[in-house]
Amino acid sequence: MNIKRYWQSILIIIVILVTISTYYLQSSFASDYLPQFTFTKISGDESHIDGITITADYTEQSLAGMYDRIVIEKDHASFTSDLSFIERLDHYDDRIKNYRKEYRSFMRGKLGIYSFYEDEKSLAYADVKWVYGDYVQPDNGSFVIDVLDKETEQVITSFQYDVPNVEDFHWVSVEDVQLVDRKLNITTRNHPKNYEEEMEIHVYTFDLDNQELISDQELLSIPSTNEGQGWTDVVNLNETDNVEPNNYLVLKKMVMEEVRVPEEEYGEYNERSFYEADEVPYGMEVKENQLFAYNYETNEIEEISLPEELQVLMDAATIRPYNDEIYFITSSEDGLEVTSYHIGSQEIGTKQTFDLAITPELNPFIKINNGKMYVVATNQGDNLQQKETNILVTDIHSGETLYEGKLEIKDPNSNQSDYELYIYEINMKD
Amino acid sequence: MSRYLKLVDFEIKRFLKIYLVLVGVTIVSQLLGVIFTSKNYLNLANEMMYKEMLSKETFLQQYGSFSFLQVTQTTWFVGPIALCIVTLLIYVFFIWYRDWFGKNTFIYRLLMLPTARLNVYLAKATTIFLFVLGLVSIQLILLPIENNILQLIIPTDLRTDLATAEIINSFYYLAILFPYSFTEFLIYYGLGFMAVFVVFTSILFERSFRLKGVVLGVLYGGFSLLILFSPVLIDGLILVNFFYPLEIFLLSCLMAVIVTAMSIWLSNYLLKNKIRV
Repeated sequence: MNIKRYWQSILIIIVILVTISTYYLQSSFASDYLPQFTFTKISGDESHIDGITITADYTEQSLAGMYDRIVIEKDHASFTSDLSFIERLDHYDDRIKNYRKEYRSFMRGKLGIYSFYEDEKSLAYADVKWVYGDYVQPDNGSFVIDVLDKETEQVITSFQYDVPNVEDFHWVSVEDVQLVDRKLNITTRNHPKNYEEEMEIHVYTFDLDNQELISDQELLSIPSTNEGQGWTDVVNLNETDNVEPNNYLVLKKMVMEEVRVPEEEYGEYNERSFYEADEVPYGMEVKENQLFAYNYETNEIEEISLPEELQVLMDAATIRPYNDEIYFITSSEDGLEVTSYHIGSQEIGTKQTFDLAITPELNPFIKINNGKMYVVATNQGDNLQQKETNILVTDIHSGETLYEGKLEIKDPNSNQSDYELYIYEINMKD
Repeated sequence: MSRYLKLVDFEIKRFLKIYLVLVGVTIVSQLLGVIFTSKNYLNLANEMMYKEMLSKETFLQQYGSFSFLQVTQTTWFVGPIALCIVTLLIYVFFIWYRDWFGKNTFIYRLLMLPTARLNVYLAKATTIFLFVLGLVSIQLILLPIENNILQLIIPTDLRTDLATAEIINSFYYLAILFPYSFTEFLIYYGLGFMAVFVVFTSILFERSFRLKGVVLGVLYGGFSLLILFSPVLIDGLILVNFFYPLEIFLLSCLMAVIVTAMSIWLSNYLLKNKIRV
């Protein structure tokens, strides 16, 4: 072939090959320049943070508010943008991903961690499947229930059951699934069609052997909001993404009223990126606070009458049910105070106080798992350089501090003051 | 093979003049854009600091430092990219129709060449690919040059330096042209080239059956889309969430290959048996 005759075409091809391969080869090394996250021990034993994962958004101010999702673990942190294309496709909850690996065919068609329950023997799944006729209103909704024996990997029970009185509801969503002695409890939030009520919390109990509905209990309901009458909300204090066995479902019912809040506070509220599920919305004040405990074993609900010293903490404290206890956690300059309340005996159990190396401005993030409490606290000084993130692990029963450490960030590109880290989830890998 | 390559070279040369104009317009407009935007910012900084007596710190606080992001959002920068895209989109059609227009229909000679007629089709497709990738490469070469010019004009303490990858990923439209990873680059441009094959086949439908062919061509386009998205549609409507993400991805890749193969096969058939001159 005569090269001289074809030089234009050959030049175009060479330019394309050289530039595009150079660009993508170069950017594959770019991850070396991402910031490094390390936990520095202050006290205790580092093995207690082995399985911890902190999910956060990382922002560098120089990049005009661009942020990147990051998952920080003990030994390494991974940025979403640093994952391969295939890894980013699979953006589901870690537990769902693990189930998919282990029980590949059982997991087909199943999404949503709130629909799962897992104990030593079985993995249970329950969700509501809707059938649409006219694409506006669902014609029918039915529970889809599947239970897997983890050892034999056999499906023990699999059936569908129409949601009772389904025509009364716009929507029914599953919040929790619990298995007690071959009986499956499904906690749902139902949105009725009538205008008197806004929402109902139900527990549907199924007998797995006969594949029958034993009971449909309405635990609580929220009346519709009329102007001037305030506003009611029911918050599920159990973490809905929990798959472990739980004895109690703890619900908090709040009646709120609108109040005027000075404008300067509004900005502060708006700038925050994280809000607790049970946090009172802006411009609202709680008039009435009630706590309810539903026992999954006896299928009974009772109102908890808290002793006065815990009742006053209802608004400010982070409230976490765990096994038979409810933990009330407050933070102040004096440190972190943890008070436990035993639901069965209706008595205050332990009181524990922990010194924190920093004073958190907001309620810290708290996760109770396997008898340990994980606290991630951030102080938000005016100056970003003062911002520090600390992590504390304690034994929930003895009150012993197992580990305390500090999250440190090293950015090879920019100076330390340039970043912001918005944490919004802590999880434990088993 | 050599017939095919000669045809590619021939097609490239036929459009080279307009193509070079596109490249020229892009280079000139973007370079001017960098210079103007930077100078404007510098003038503003000078005015604020010397006339209004703002300190450098207050100026930076109020107006922010200068980065390449301010350049990419201007018409100087985006305009020529849009022009190139529109021109090439039109040329996807015109690369065929130009052979039928004019006094002596050139397609007659092309189809009479002593080589498989499919080579004409493949050469035209290859030409479009090379033009698209060529423009993409020019932009990749331009970005660091423009970045350097910016750094020459704006003093260090008034600017935030960004790497080429950071410039691209912080601007939505650029991130589409230059996807984050090479895998995505292959996927995006692979899909684009599949679309070119489908459109070419639709054009050949029209050239074979004229008015009836327009209907066939549109139907063929719709049918291709249906095949391509069939794994997603099945997972969304029939077997809800049955497939895992990786499976959907692999099935979609397979469908894209099927659509491309089907287009080439159909075009071959149309060119051999149905095409009207």
